[in-house]
Amino acid sequence: MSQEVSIIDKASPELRRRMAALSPQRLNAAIGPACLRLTQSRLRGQGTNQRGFHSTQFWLQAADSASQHADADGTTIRVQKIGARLQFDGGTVVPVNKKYLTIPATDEAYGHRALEFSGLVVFWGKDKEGRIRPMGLKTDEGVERRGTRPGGKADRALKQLQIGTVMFWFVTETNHLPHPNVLPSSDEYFDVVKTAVNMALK
Amino acid sequence: MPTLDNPTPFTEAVKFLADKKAVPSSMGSAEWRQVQAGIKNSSLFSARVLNLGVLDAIQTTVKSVLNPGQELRPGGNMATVGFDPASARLALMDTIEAEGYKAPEGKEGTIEDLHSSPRIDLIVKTNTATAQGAGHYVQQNANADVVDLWPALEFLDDDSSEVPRGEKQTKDGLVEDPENSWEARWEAALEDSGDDDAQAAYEATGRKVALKSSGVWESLGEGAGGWTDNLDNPFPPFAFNSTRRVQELSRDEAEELGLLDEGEAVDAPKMDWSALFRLPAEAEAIMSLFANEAEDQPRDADGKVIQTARFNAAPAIANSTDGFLARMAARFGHKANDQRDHPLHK
Repeated sequence: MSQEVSIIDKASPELRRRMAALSPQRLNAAIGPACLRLTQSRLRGQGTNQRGFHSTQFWLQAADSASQHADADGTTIRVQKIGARLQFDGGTVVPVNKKYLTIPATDEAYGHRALEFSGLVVFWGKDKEGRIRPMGLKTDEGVERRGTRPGGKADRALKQLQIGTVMFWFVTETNHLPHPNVLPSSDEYFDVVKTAVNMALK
Repeated sequence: MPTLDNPTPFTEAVKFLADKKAVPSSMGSAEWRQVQAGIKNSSLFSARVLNLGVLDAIQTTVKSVLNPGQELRPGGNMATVGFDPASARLALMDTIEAEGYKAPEGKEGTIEDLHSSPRIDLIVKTNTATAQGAGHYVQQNANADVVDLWPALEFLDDDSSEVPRGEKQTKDGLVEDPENSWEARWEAALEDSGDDDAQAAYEATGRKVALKSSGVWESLGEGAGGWTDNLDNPFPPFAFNSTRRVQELSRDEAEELGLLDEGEAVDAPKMDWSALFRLPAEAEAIMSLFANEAEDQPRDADGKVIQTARFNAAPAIANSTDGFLARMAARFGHKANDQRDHPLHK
C-alpha cells in the first residue's frame, strides 16, 4: 500500500516570508539551547545513588559536561561524562588488566578506589559456584585513607567502623540495566523543539 | 537526540583548559585573588604550587575528565575511557608524591596540603567545572541569534553541595547561615550592578534572573558584597565548591519576567571571547614575574623545587598587576576595575 500526500501551500505570504527568513543557523540557535536546557535539567534532577551513600555529584557533572553543537544536519547534544552511557544503555563491565572489580560496600568506600586505603585486608570465601576465592577487602586495625587529616571528619568516620567491616567486594563483572529515562524522551525533545521553532518564527 | 556513542570534545571547554599556561607560584589563594581575572583565566595555577610537573599533571588529568577517549575492548565493544574523579585523585596523588612534595608541617590532610584528598578534589572539580562553565558561556553568548532568542539567564536554586551556602555545619548538624546564602550574594550583586529590571523580577517572583548582558553575572563572580570565595568569572561556578548553575531563558520568558520589552533588541555581554582562551600579549610581562619566582626557589639535590619554601612575591606581583592595569586603563581610557571593557579583554 502506498499513500501520497499532497502538500498545498496555504500559508499566508507573511508566514512564508518569515519561514524563508528562518535560516538553518537561526533554527539551530532556537533549538540548541532548548534541547540543552531540557537535557541538563533532566540530568541534574536524577537522585542520589540507590544505596543511600553520599552524593559524588555524578549527575551534576554529567549535566555540566553536556554541550550543544550545531552542524548542517541540525543540533546535537553531547554528554561527555565517563559512566553516563553505561547508565543510559546499560551493559556489562569487566575488569581490564585485573582479575576483579572492586565494588564499594560502605559510604566511606563509595567514590573511592581501594588503593586509596591502607589497613584493609583481603578476606576469602566461596562464590556462587562454590569456588574459594578472595571475596573482598575488610577493615583491619589502623585503617586509613590517603590524603585525609588524621582525626578529621573522614578519618573519624573510618575509625568508627568495626574491625572486619567489608569495605569493598570483589566481583568479576557488573551488569547494569539500561535507564533511558536519565535523558528526556524523543517526545519531550520534540515538544521543546516545537516551542523553540514557534518562538523563532515570531 | 543526545549522543553518548561517539564522544567528541566539548570544544569550547577543552580549549579553555588547553590554552591555559601553567603558572608555578608560591602565592596563596588570598594573594591570587588580587590578580586580574583575565590573567587567572589564562593561567593554570593552584595556591602555593611551584612545581611545573604538578601543574602539567593537573592540566592533563582535567583534560582527560573533560574529553574522555574511546577504546575498543575485547569482544568488539567500545568503552569510554579517561579519569573518573577517584582515579584522577589517585593519579595526582602519585604524581605529587613522585615530585617529592612535603606537606607543610601540621597541615597534613588539610586543604593547605597539596597532596590531600580535599585539595586534589577541589583542584580537579574547580578546573573541570570552570572550563565547562567557560564553554557554556561561549555557547550562550558568542552567537547573535542565540542571544536574540535566548537573551537571559536564570541562576538556579538547585544545590547539591554537602553544605550549601546559606547553611553551616555545626556539632548539632546543619544550621541556617542566611548572611552567606546565595540569596544574600544575589542581592549584593544586584545592588552592585544596578540592574533594575533584574531587581524588579527578583522582588516580584523571587527568581534570580537577568539578561546575559547584565553586569549582575560579573558582580556575582567577583564576590560583590565582600565574599572572598569567588572565582572571578561571569559564569558558574561562581565560587569554590559551588554546585549552583545557570540556565538560559527564552525571549518569551525574558519578556514575561520584565527583563525585556516585546521585540526589544538585545546585546551580548561586552567581552572579547578570545580573551577567555589566551593570555593577552601585554600580560606576558606580568607572567614572567611568576616564572622568575619559580626559578628563584630553593631546590633539592635533584633540582626539584622545595615546595614548603615560602617566598612571598605576592605584593610585588599584585602591585605590578595593578600598575600594569592602571597604565593600560590610562592608555585606553577605561576604568581599571571594569573587566567587561578592560583592554586586557580587547
